[in-house]
Amino acid sequence: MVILILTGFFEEGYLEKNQDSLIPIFFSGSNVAFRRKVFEDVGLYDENCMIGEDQDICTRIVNSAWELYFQPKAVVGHKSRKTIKAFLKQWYRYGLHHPYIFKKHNPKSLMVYLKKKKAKREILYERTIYRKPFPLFILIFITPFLIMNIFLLLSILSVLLGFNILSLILGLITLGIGIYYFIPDISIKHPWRTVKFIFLRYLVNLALLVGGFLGGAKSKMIYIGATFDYKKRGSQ
Amino acid sequence: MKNNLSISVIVITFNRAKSLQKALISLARQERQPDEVIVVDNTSTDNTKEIVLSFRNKLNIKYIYEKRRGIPYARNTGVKNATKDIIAFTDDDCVADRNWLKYLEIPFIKDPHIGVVGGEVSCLKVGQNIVAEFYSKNMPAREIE
Repeated sequence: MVILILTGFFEEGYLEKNQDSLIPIFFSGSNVAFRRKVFEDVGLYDENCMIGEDQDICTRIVNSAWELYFQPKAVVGHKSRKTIKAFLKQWYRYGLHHPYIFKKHNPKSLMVYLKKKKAKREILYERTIYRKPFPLFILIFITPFLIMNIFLLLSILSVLLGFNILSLILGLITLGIGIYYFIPDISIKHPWRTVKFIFLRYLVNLALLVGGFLGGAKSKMIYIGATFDYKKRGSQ
Repeated sequence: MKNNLSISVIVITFNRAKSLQKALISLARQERQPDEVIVVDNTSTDNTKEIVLSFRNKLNIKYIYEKRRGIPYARNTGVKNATKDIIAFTDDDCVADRNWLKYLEIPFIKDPHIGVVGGEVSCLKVGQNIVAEFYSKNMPAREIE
């Protein structure tokens, strides 16, 4: 789904066209090929999509008669950003531009999605909680990262208010979720790297979440985005 | 069934001459050569143009300048200038595997209903910094030839 920009979770073949997802799976703009006629049928890239133009066009193609095919043997190597600042900016910008695409391709509704523990093929998020027409466009992805931060805020708040026992309980819950969440980054052999990875994962998700929230506000919607939780192929 | 498709490859770029050069080298090394390469320069101020023109003997390359800054503008300008049956994209911060185009073309030849083919984007580890380490630990990585 939306977060699977640079990943290869799935196997060679046709993409399913009738997915119950907000934005269908799509191909990254850095490794994709189109038949010329496709542009005549679905139009060019949406010039309001400064980022995520690849998602948008694939969504339009999914809704057309054309088939989409994933060919994992066609490999392109993508370089990571070099600095933390550039990395965070990249993900902040993804967040900022995602809400527009969601809004464009979905009717006005209140939608709450939950991350699935095990992804079925490439779909990480599926409508599991709520999706009903609503006067406002509200889209919320419930992720461990979001829950962890809510508990963190609550425990800070209760410290400030002087509820010490409550803050201890909330703090322990935060810690528990944190350990669960940061498991992929924890390595006893590399304690310093563990600290740096946890720090980076926290910041990149915060950048994505804040970017998404602000981008949502710009598109007149309430948007709490999904987070960056890739897993390598085979480590699902 | 048509089995002699022609392919345009579009690379859009902004101020990444050095990295673009690597991308273009990887295109020049393709097992299945692109029939046309279009570089859309999206307001670069470095030596992008010079780099692109230096590939004139290796690739059928076109340099196009797009002054409206933004990814979709640049991509659309590329599409409008492409003349071949298949329009493929890669980016200026990417390196294509030797067999990239060859494999990307196969599904189009096999099935005329296929409108889009996507490939795998693999992590390319550059340097020894924390971001590269984090990125390569969390993204799929494959050998690039």
